[in-house]
Amino acid sequence: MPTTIKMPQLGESVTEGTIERWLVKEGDTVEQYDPLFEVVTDKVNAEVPAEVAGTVSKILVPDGETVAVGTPVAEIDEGAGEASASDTQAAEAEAPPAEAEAPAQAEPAEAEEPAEPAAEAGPAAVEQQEAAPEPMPEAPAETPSGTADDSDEGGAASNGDGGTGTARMTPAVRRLVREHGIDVTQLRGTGAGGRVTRDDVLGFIEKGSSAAAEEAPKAAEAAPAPPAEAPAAAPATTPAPAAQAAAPAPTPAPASVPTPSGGDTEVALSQMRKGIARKMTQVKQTVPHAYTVIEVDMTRVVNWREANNADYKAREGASLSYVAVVVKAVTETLRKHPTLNSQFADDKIILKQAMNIGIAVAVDNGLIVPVIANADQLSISGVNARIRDISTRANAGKLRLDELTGGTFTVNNTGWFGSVISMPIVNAPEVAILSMEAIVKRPAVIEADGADVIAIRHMMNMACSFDHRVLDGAQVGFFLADVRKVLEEWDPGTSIG
Amino acid sequence: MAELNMLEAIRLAMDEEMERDERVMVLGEDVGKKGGVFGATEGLWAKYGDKRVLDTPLTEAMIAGAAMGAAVYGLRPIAEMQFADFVYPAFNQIVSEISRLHYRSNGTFSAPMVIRMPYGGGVHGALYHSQSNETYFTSTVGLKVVAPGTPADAKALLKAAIRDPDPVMFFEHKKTYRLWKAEVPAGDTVLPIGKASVVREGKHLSIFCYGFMRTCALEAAETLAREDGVEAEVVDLRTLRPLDHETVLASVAKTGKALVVHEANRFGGFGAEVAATIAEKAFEHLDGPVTRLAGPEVPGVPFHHTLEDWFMVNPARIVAAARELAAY
Amino acid sequence: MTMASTDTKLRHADLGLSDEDVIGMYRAMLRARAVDERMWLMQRAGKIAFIISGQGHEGAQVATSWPMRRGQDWMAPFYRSIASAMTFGMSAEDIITAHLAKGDDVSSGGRQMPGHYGGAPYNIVSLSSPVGTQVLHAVGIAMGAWVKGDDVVTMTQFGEGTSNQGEIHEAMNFAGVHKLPVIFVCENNGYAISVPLDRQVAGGSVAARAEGYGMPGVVVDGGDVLACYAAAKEAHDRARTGEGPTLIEARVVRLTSHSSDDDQRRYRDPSEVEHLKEQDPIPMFAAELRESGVLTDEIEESIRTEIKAEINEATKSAEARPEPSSDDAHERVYAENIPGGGSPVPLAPIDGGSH
Repeated sequence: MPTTIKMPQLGESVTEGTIERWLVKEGDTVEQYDPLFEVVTDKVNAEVPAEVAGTVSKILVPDGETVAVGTPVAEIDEGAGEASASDTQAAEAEAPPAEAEAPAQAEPAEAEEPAEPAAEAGPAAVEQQEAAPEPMPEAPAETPSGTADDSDEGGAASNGDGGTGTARMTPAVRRLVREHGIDVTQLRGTGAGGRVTRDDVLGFIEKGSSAAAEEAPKAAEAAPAPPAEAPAAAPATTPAPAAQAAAPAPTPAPASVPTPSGGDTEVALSQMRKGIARKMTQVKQTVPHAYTVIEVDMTRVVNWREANNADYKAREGASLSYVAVVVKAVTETLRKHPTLNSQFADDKIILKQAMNIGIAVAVDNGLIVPVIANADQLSISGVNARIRDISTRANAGKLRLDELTGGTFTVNNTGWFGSVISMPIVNAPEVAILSMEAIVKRPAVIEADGADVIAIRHMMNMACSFDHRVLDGAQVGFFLADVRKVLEEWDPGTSIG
Repeated sequence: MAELNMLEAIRLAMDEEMERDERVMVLGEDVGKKGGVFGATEGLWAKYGDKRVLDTPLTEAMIAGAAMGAAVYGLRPIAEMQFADFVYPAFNQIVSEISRLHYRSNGTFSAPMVIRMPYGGGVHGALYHSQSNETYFTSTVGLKVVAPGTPADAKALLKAAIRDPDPVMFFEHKKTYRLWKAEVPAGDTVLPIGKASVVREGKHLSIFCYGFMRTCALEAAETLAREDGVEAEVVDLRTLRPLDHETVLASVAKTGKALVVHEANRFGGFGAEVAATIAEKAFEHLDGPVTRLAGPEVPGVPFHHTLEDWFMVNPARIVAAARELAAY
Repeated sequence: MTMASTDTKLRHADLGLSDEDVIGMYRAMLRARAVDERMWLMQRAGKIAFIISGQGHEGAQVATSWPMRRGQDWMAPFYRSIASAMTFGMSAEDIITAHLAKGDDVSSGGRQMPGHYGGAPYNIVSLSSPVGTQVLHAVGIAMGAWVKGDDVVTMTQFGEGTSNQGEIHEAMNFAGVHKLPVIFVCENNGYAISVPLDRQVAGGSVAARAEGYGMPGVVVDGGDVLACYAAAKEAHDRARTGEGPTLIEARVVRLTSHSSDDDQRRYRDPSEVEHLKEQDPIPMFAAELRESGVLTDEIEESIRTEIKAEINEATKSAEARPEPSSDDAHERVYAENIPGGGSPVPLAPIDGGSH
């Protein structure tokens, strides 16, 4: 296999060389490093030596010709003698002869590969570029007419009307809106230039009032000529369809919508109710739910609480809630079952490092789920105090923004109104929610002195609804079993903290 | 716990390190017998002698280059540039050599050394005794750049810099030298290089600053709280390179609004780096435009006090900028 | 003939050098030349991108480096110092590997251009492209030794063009003020790329500046190996005994162009270039050694054969070494293990979540 000698690069930024004259001719034998030819470049003149020993079999470029660096100029047939560097040479010297003929033309041919001949490569490439950007910044589902991009323009937004979805919103506010599934057409901006502020969104989430509900259909009627950018003119003329049409979620309208008749009373939907309706529908449609229930013998916990509650109440001014105990048991157990503290992200599951436990709180005519951040880092007393605090403020509509976001797992106290089994809806994007049902005195079979006896025990069911895309029954079952273990083996000496 | 000013804290750091490690030496103009033009090395020459507190000729390149040689040899030199304004003759050594030595030798050579420099204005020093030229060095890969804002931080960070295996540019704002005394923990307290500090918690906006601006920002925050009910979070960066991205981004995630403050001019200033990082990595948390408050685009602090006052970033300006951002 | 040979024999003996020593010097010069020539060939053959060589400097370099104590003294050379570096410990393979920019190259792991030597195991400071910066480093090392009271001499080499850099002035002045144990070797070959001496050095002599720096300045004929050695030996003794620095200016000849990117025939007088070979220190020293009866045909033949084999072996080994990988091109920026060159940024935007 002959070794190809190429025009070397004799200096930085040198791109070509002229063969001044050949010092050997075809048929000559050369030793390694014997001079082969003289080269002239714009920086240096030099003699180029043979890389290998052998016989000069071909001279490819004649005297006086200028070629680009890398162009094959000769071939040497290596003899049986010195083959020191020729192995590495042979590996490099695979230059196909075609290169030598028309090096200048080789490049466009390669570039053309995916497309047509050179002449058409240009327009084709341009076409591809133009085709590429599909409707890029896709309007968030909430905006009825995809005019979210206009939201920065101000224009009609200057009167603070979020109603057409053209109000200005910062990224942080948009994220909040997204996380709570809020209909932006219902938002009113009180910030500078009609901006919808975080407080505006917060207020919207917490305060649901018929006054606001009344305003909605009024505003819908009173906005017959919204700014030209809103083609869909979603707010129509009648209240009911207005409320519906304004719903931006891709919810197909129900097959038949009931209408009042006779002595029926219409109750307008509050903002909160609308939000709950929307979110629950969306979650139920996208998250495949499954359910598991177990029984927990809470006797030891109850006894412990009873023993400590008086002192605690005297010290803290309020009772110790069982919710706090369950939250602590849950956070301890979640560390061993991180998949229950995760989020589903289409092609992956994100295991959340923080443990931000949401506590479902019933408020007037609705439901809020404020979050205890890093609940695992609090003592039982700490969790208890937080629960009291957020419940109080939730009812007063005084929750902070950062208390409504970032939850990773939710605990739902259905027991306080007597439920013994429930099937809560997962608080997406979380993947699991745990209901603690009522603690009821029941006869139960326990083992005492090696024999089975019937005793009166404090029993509480725990029901867990979960996202079956992420979790399976057995996983959840094991998690619940571990929570149960913590509660059933509760150490009477546990400090409240 | 003693109450020390910035200068005393810096001096104490050097003294303690020199006592602890006989490889540590100081070199620079007037650092020996005179004790430094600001008094930063006062007393050290008498205590450690000529060979460890060395008065050099008036030669910045030599100060930096010889320090590198000594560091290569195994010493831990603290080189002083009399003013940051005069570091430029040493620039070749600092950037071409000191910052690159470790990388170019594939990790087989390193230059554990500190270059201390007084910087900043507000002392009637005019164009050549007031420069804030930290960005020449923050943009140089291979250097570490530190700018403490309190005596306690200065002492703990200078100790860290002296012990650091890499070259550290240590910026001391000269206006803070004797401005106030504060508590400095006794003993061997060392702060890690590369960690910022949330010195005041707040929820309405985050103010990122360093050096003298820390003092100004805290004062501004007090005013904002008192007069506007705006709670500003003040983050003292302390180290410029490497930047503590985690602390910066966490603060923005919390408040949604970022104001970066520095005395150096705005274009290409350090604030640009912080702002770009925030915009890239915390976009979803932004509740207002990332804003910089910086010195004017003139080549240095003019002398006349009216002109100097016009130049200097101060608490009132920070309050104004913060107010605007908070209201967005 | 007898008189002359005795004289010459006495000459190296006078300097405390044995026959073996001078043969060793000759061998060192030949080795350096062989490596140098091999690398030019490799460059012309397209295997090495760039070479800047020291042909013509070998006599001065080997001789001045000869008193330096390996592993104890330090050296901060420049890009032409192939012979100095090899005399002080670098191997032929080290030099060739550096030019091939291999991944495990002792100088830089493929990160630096050829000619940017360095070797922590040899106490040879990693050098860079801005000329003359190494001279301050040498002075810094000498200062370190002086502060610690260690028996260490540092030598630094540079060209006459570089001698005009401001940092050289600062370096020499400082060394003189404190009598630091450092030897400044200026290899004056008459050309800084294309700029000749009369446009480079105002006073015509670099050594003449020494007095102003508080140190002796010596001019030596770079082609006279023993004279170079004598000057260096004395400088080394002075440094060792606390008498301070010395500036040696060795007048040498640059046999090749400045580098492989340069062609000196385009700016140097053709007759000058033609006669360069006559000043080649290698045949001159060979003649001197033959005259004194120390070097014979046999010895020469054996040295050359040995060296040829060594160079071939070194070339082969060097070529077989691994290329550097970009996998760790981001590493070893800082001595501390900081990822991302000191600007670590979370890979993903910060997640939501309250604090």
